[in-house]
Amino acid sequence: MSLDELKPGQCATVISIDGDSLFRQRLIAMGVTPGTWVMLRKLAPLGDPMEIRVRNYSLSIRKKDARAISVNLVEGA
Amino acid sequence: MSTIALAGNPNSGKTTLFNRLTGTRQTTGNWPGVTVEKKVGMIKYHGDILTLVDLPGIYSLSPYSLEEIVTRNFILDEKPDVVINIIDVTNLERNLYLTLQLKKLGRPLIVALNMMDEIVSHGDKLDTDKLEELLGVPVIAISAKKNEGMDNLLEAVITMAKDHSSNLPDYDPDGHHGHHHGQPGPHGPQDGHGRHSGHGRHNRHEHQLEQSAVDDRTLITDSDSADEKSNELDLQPLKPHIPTHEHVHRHPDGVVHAHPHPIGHHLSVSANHYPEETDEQTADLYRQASAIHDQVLIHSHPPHAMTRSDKIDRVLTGKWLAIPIFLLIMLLVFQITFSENIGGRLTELLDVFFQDIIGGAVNSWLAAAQAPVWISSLLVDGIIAGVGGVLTFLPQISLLFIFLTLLEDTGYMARAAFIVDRIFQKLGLSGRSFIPMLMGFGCTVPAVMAARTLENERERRLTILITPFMSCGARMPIYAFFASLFFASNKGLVTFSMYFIGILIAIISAVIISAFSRGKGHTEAAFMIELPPYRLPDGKSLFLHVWDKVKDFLVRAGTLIFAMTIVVWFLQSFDMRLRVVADNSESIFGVIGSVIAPLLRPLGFGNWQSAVALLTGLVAKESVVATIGILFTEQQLLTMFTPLSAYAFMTFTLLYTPCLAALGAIKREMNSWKWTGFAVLWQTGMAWSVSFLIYQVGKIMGLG
Repeated sequence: MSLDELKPGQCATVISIDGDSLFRQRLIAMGVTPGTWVMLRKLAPLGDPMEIRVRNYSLSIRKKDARAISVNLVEGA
Repeated sequence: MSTIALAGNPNSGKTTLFNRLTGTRQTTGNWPGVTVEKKVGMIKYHGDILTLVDLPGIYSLSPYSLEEIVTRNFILDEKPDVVINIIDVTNLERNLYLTLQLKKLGRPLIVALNMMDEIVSHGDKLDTDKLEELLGVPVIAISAKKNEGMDNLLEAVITMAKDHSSNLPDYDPDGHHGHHHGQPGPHGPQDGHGRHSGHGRHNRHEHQLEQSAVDDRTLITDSDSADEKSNELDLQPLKPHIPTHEHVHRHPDGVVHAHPHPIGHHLSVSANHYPEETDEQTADLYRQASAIHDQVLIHSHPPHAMTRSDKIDRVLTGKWLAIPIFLLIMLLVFQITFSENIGGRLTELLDVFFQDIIGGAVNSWLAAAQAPVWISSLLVDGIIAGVGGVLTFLPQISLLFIFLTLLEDTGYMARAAFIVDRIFQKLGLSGRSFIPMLMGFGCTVPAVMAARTLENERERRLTILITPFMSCGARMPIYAFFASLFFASNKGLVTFSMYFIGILIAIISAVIISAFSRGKGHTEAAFMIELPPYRLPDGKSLFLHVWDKVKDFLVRAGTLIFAMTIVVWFLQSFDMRLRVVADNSESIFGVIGSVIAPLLRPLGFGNWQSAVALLTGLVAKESVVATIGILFTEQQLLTMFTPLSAYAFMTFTLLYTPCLAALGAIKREMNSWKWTGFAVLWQTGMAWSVSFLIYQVGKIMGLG
């Protein structure tokens, strides 16, 4: 599944990121590397962008960009 | 004198630390060739004098942005004696990633652990000894905001700087040379990168230098580097990679140099000068950072527990309250700044001070001294009316900068971008465009520069094009002046309407321009912004930041505006043959103005005085008021303008091309004369059309 499919409060681990290379590079430089835990904190009041928790800080990205991030859902976390 | 560099993540408290260490002994400028702000300050500590250079706040050294390139180049080329890396310990893992990258650049490094008090108040514990051991560099706990740990930090810096400048081998990560930090642990990331020591001990290279070379990047190595590789002493347990040594060049002395290269202003171009760090290299550094984090930080509560910041955030960006609170905050900022009661009252007091007290005193003093009429004309009607007219607005401009700084320092600015992104996306912009646009209400120059954080070319260009429509502080005197003359009973409303028109025209422009640029195969922009924890702002930093802006305004009033008023006074007092004119419509200005005036006639202010006032506004927008103050008496103004034409004039000054300083910033940021020319034409075209509409429609409605 991709990151944009998570529901608020759900956790997942990153498998891979594809897509536009600058965005991808930036995400990786911000610590969203394969194997990292992410949690979807919330969506912005108008439904987009989203706030994710990664490496103990908050990062905001748009849903359409989050589609490029494949994740494994961590059940019950 | 030693040079110390200060590096760290955005929101790590870097600016606060810089202000703590240097106080008001700092100067602000730009890095050569680029418009990234450079701050340099002096530290005096027990007889030692140090120069502290504040490097831009960055997340990574992987050079995708000018800030990252500036930081890397400074450390590699200027070789600061010590690099202080400030770390936000509440965000240890990501901050350590930069630390590990910095370590690889090979300069003597000291890590300052900021926000230690927050860790303690969360009930967590950080093992600083262990961290020092794992990193292999001195680690000092500080709290920049509470001014704690500064002595320890400075002593460590001075010790290291002295070790470095004496002919001893400089910084040695293994701690062989008397630094009190311990040996790196067996799992510690240990990279040998001492500089040439003069002891015959060759530079030890990272293992990965070879790999980088193999990667067939643009690595250039001197012939002796092969020998150096064979001299390599250390095999690192964790095999750290050199992230960005692509342009690295090894001198025979073993010193690492970045190749001097032109920094293309264009982000995408400059990024191309440096091939990217591979994903695996980045992931590897993060693995190390994560391993260190796990070993040194002891959590007393589950990792996802709510902090105070989270609780605040739940309200401020919550589903229902976020937008009302956002609107309320914006309203409050403008209400307090521009309302009659606070900003307005202070402004009135200053006006009385300049016009009546100082102007009156100078007038009577000149009369007593029987000075020639032209001197009192220059001093009272020229300089005091002009410069004083501008200085009057100091309180409102200060208030606006206080609020902008508060929004930034508390962490709300990033949330505002988060909240409005959805709307801005529809206009072809990004939530990040909100930050430069809001700053535009202060001054267009830094606002245009702030647009650099937008990585997408099209979004950045569009943001730069519409930011000047956000009415800057220098335009405020114009509205205030006209509103109090022509709309005395509705001053606040009329002033507010100017800001509103500016925003409206910005939106309309964004929609039109992005509709035209959309077709041309642009790439969809991505949006990414850190939402830092909410924090109480630091009073000293707030003061210094606002003072910096206020000082700027005062200096402009004392130099540029002062000179302008003299020029204006001269041009309106003399004719082409340099004779004093009785009627200033025959002056040099009168002649120039009457050439332009017909163009302005359909807008309701086709007089030569308005034309030249607008021309002087190109130098600085405040000059419009200064010039009007010199050219007109109040009585004349009331006969030359109707409320309708005054309103059209205000609208024109709001929208027409920004001052030369702002145009310079636009040119530098766009790196294109074509786009700069487009900006001038678009803005002036908008100004003419909107003023035309207002005046003509108003006349039809019988308002004129």
